Amino acid sequence: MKPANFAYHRPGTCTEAADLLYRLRDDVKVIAGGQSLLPLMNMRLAEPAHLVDVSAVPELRRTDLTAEGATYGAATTHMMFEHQLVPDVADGLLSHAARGIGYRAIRNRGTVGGSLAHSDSSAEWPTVMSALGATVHALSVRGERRIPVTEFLLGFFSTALADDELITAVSVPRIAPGTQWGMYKMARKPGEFADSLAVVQVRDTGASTPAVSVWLGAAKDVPLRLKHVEKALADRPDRSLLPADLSGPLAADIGADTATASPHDRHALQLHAVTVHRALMAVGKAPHAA
Amino acid sequence: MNAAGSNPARRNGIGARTPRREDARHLSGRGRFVADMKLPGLREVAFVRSQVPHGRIRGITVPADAEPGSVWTGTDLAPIAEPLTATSTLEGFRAAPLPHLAVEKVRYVGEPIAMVIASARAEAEDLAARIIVDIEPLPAAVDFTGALAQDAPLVHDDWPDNVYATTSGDIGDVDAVAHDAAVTVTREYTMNRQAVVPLETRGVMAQHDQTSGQLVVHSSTQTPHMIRDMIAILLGVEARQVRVIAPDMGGGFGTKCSVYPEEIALAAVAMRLPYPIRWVEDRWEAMVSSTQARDHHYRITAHAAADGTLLGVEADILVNAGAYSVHPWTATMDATMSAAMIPGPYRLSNYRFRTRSVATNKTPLGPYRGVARPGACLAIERTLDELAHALGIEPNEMRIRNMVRPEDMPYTSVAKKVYDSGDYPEAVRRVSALIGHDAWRKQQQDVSDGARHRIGIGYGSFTEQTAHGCIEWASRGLAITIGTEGARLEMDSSGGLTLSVGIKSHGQGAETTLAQVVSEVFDVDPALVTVVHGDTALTPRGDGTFASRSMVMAGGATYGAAQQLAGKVLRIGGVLLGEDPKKLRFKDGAVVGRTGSVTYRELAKEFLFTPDHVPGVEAGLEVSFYYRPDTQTGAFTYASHAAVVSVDLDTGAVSLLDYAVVEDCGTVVNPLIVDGQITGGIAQGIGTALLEELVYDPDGQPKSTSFLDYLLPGATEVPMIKIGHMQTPSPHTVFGVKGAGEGGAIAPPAAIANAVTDALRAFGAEANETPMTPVRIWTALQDAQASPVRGAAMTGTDR
Repeated sequence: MKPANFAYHRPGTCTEAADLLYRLRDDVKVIAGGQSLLPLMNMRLAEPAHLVDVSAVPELRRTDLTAEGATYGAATTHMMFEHQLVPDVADGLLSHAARGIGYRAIRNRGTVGGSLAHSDSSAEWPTVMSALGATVHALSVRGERRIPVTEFLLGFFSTALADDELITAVSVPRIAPGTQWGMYKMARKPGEFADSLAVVQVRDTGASTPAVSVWLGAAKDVPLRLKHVEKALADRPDRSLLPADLSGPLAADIGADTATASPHDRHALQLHAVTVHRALMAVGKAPHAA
Repeated sequence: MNAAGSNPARRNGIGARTPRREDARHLSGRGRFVADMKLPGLREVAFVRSQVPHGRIRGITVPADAEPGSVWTGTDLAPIAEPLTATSTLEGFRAAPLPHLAVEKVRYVGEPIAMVIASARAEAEDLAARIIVDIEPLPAAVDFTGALAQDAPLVHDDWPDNVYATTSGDIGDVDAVAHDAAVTVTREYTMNRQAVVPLETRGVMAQHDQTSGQLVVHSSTQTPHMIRDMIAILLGVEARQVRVIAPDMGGGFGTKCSVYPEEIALAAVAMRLPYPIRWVEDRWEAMVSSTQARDHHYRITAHAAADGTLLGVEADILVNAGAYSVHPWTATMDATMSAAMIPGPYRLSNYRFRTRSVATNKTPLGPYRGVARPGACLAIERTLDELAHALGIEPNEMRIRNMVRPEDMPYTSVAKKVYDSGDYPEAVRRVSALIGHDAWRKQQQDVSDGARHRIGIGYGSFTEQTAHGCIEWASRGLAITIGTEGARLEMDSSGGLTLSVGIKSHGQGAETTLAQVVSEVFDVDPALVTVVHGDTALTPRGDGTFASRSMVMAGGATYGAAQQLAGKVLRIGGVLLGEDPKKLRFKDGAVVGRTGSVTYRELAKEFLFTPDHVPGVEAGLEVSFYYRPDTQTGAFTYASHAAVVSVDLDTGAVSLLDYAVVEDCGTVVNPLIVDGQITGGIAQGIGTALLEELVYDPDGQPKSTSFLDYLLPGATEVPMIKIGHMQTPSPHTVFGVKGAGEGGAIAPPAAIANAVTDALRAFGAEANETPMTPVRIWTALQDAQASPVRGAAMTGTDR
């Protein structure tokens, strides 16, 4: 369980990093916190010839705050979000989500950009950033482009990033006034990857029914927006639905065939229903941004 | 109830709350493990291991540019190391020679095929990756149903089936009592396979010392003397030519007390190399190639009278022992222990059992804390709760009614085990009080029907043979009948005491507790007694640390050596003080008489520097003592555990609300260490109950070989454990101590499964398979609701 040989590069700027990535694009990996990549390399499931370590690039740790939202440098660690050492434009949701990631040592090193690049839908950031409508900033020698997270995440370990592109930042729009959120993570132990992860946002639009968005992680290879569930909620605005009421629309959203499901699959669907329900129950109850 | 039998007045000796002297070096990172060793020219080893569960080796191709001596296959090793064959004297036992590197066939994922040496581990892995092993895959025997089928693939080609051995017994008349029973229940239970996960993985370093001509092997092993013996035998050299050193260890829990192919392979190859070599097991290797544990299936039928009296028990026990029989424990170790422990702490006269130890294409099964008892305890304790429920008796009361009573001691169980001492029912009464049985029953009843959780209370009781002697091992068919320990105690010229023992403390704190034994005799601060262990060149022969035996056995040897040396020191003191030695005593590091005293420092200097000052006392200030208890049936530690759980009806998740244990390990040598052993054992038992499972797919591929999938208990999964102690000294051991290392791990699966079942009574769902994962519990609930007649038990489907 030792990595195969690789060449190590440590650029000091984004431009330098992009140049390196372009030059080495045939066999290169970007490393920041290394909390996912290093185990993969140790198990030799990844054997990149080159590693570009971006932990010495100051730009990647910068946060820019505007009236619309915040742009967090890609190397912002989970710990920074957890303790609100960066502003939380999602009214506490970013901090709440970060607190559930792995263990203290992992949060101290792991980064938001790394998590999105890894694209594991049972991790926190893909679902939370999808729910918040975040945008990924990607840099290459061809220049910068912006990719909505929902278009960025293509599948398990698969993203829209080109081989020579670097995530430089993630922009998160400020949560809309009158919006309340609820999040629930179902996992066997604190710190494990989620068996299910739901983010619910309820926005008071002034109309008789509030606008509800529901996102689910760990069900498919990318986070899912649960349109059928949202519709069921719109029909029952008092949030009196029980997990059993959610199973049907959830199965439709996930594409699960309840008739042929194995006990494991049936339990998985049940966990998702319970998770969505608990996220719904948590709306407005979590601590807000400091 | 006293807190861990503590005697706060005691500074030294037995019963003192002496902080572990090992902790200072480990907490400050000054321990020295195999992976820390540095030797000039040291090269590192990686193994090529089978990626298929079962297959025939057609060829192994080594890269042409590999350095000579850098790659070793089974063919290379055959002439220099005999394969290991763990034989058994059990009738009909089939031995399965265990090659150090596979030849002809591979029989489990992780089996070593080739050994690769390079200057660094990463380079060894590079070379290993370039070795091409051509294997013709064969169908695998994986679970009980598959392995026992008529047309099952044969793990060992020359066997007629996949059974290592079948044992059986029929004591009393089960059929007659079945006829009279008020209630009869039959249940099936499954305890799935676990990894054994010490923080430090295994590691071996071997060097042929050109100066001494000696082969020096460092190994993270619980049994250094046994490893030395087996290296000598299998390599065809004399044992004097082999020295085995077990340095600091980060746990073992039983998985480091078998003789392993890697130890023999490194030793054999190092004999032929001019440089030392080392292999440090990585975590993947640890999950597939260290011996694994549990993997039992039970079918139990039990009969009881209307008043709850347990009349008879029938047990059909299956153990999935994996591909090979490990030395010295053999592939029937779990089955024979399990059959003997099913009767538990109960007065039972009618018992019929059959065990089958099954060979499969899984990693060999070996010892793990509790050895088979967690499975046996789950089976009998769950069954007892079902009987109690059917009869409308509270489970704690059911146990009290059936347990062996103090007046029955010593009690020969229906399985011919001799329970030596104790008050088993009292442990149940005390643990009921400690957990607050009545208060929890009230809380349980207060949960509303509409709530989405339920509360349950469960008990698990056991009695556990510890520190058994030769006859026990012989009765289980072992070729090596363990039962002797040696200790050597030396007083040096400065009056200091050095104790050397053949056991190997790998986390138990024996450097502290054995020093306490010496301090009990000599009345010195235990910190002033050096304890040497884990080096065959420096310690008297001993069998090692396992089976909760070290405090009893090495403690007995240490006490014997200390007593003899004390006698001599008193005689020297008598000469120096001019007093009758019989009237002298030890106090604060000195021999004290009526008129004067002499410190050990003065005394030793006088005796060793100027023996002419001490006429009439023969030379030498050291004693070797070998201890073998007169009674070899073991000292029985017993305990009752109580668990309170909350079960989430929506998810099937189980959380522990409370946990208590009342145990009796006889005289407590060090209350701090005993409490630590109990808590750690319970943590591992919670792992068995709720989290840990080595999942194999139908083809025999292990699917949970990293901590991503293999969940271990941590601080968030282990509640504060309430511990109560009883202290009934064993009549058979020095100081009356009983083993304390394993008990904690035995009862948690039983207590928690009973608590979960108690919580789900209204639904008719039962928890009969470990680990009790959310999916298993939730599915049992669904199935129970679908068939509400008796309720569907969560039985194993793996038959």
